[in-house]
Amino acid sequence: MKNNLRYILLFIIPLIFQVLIFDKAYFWGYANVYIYILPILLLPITLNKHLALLLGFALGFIVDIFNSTPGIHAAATVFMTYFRPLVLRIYAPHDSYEVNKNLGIINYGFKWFFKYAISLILLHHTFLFIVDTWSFANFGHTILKIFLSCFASLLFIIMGHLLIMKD
Amino acid sequence: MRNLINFIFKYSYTILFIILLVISFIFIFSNSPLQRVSYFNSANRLSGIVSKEWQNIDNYFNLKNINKSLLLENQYLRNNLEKYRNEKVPTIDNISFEYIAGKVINISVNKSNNFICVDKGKKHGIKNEMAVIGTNGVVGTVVSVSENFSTVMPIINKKSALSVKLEKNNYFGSLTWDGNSPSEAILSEIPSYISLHKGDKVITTGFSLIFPEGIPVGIVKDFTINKSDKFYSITVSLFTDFHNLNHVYFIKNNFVDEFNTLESKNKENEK
Repeated sequence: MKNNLRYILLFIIPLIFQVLIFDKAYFWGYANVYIYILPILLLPITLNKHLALLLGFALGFIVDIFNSTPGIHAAATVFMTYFRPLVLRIYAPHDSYEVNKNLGIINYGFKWFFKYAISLILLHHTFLFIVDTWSFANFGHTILKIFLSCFASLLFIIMGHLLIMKD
Repeated sequence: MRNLINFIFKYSYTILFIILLVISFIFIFSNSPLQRVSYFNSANRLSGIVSKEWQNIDNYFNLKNINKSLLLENQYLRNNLEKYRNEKVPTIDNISFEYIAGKVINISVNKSNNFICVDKGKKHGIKNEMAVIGTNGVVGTVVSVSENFSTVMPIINKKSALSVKLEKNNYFGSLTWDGNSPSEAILSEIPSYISLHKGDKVITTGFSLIFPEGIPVGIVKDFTINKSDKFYSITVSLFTDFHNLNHVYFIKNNFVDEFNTLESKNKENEK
C-alpha cells in the first residue's frame, strides 16, 4: 500500500513540475526539459508491460492537454515506453535484475542508470522533436535542440530521481 | 483461426503499441491547427485555471518589468495624444477600432506551432480572428475562444501569415515564421528592384480589416536577393519580445461585420 502511494506521487510530482515550471523554461535558448517521463523510467520491473504502455500514453496525453499539443507527447512517450523492455534487456547486469529491488541508481549504480536513462530520453526526445517540427528543412537546428534537451532532461531526471525515489 | 489468435497473443504488446501510436497520430493530423486548438480548449478549462493561478504568483516577481513597459507605453500614448490635440481633429462619430486589454496566462515560444493563452474570452467580447497586439507591436490573431479564455496564434507560429509593408515606401509583403528564433520572422514578396536598408521599419497594412494600418511589427535586420524569382528574402527583427510578454490588447473592429456582409454579397454576385 505504502509502495503504491509512492508510485502515485512519483507520477504526480514530476508532472506538476513539468506543467508549472519546465514547460515555461528554456535552457541555453534551445533546450526544453521533459522531466515528466521520470516515472516511466522507474516503473517496477515486474509491472505488466501492456499496462506500462497505457500509463505512458495517459501521461503524455495529460502533458499534451496542458501544452495544447494534441498527441505529440502521447506518441513520444508511448514510443519510448515500447522500447523500455528492450533497453532493460540490453543493459541487464550480469546477475540480471532482482524482482524485489526497485530500478534506480542506489540498487544498480550510477553508470547503469546513466546508460539506461540516456537511451530512453534520446528515443523520446528524437521522436518528439521530429514530430513537432515535421520537416527536415532545418535538420541541424533540430539535432542541436534534441541533444541539448537530452542533456538538460537527463540532469533534472537524475536530480528528481534522487529526490523522490531513494531506493 | 487458432493461428490468428496465437498471432495476436504473441504480438499483443506490439499491436497495443501500434494502436496507441495511431490514436496519437490521429490527434496530431486529423484536425487543422485551428480546429485542433478549439477542440483542446474544452479540455483546457482546467489547464487554463491552473495557468492563471500560477501566472498570478509569477507576476509578482515581474512587477518591476511590467511597470516599466506600461510606463513607456503611457509615455508613447501621451505623446500621440498631444499631437492630435494640437491638430484640431474633427469630432469622430464612429470609432472603428476598440481595444480590450488582457493578461497572458500561458505562452510557448520554443515550438514550431506556438500558442498564447489569454484570460479574456467570449464573456469579455473576444471573437475569433481578432487582432492582438502587445506594448511594442503585433502579437498575432485570436484562433479560438471559450467562455473565459482565448487562444492566440502569434506571428511566431509556422501556420501564421501576416500582411505587412515597409513604412517608407508602402511596398507590401507577407510575414511568416521559419520556426527558429522567436525574435525574428521572414518577410517575403518584396520585389528586389526597390531599395532596402537595414533598420527599415515594417508595419501592418490594414488590408484584412483585422489589423489597423500602421501597427509596428519590427525592423529589417538582414536581407538577401533570391536570384531565381527577383524577390528579397528579408529577416525582420520583431518588436514584440515573446519571452517577456505579459499584457496584450485585443483589437475589435466595429466595421468588420458590415465589411463581411458586403464581401459575401460580392461573392454572390460573382456567381
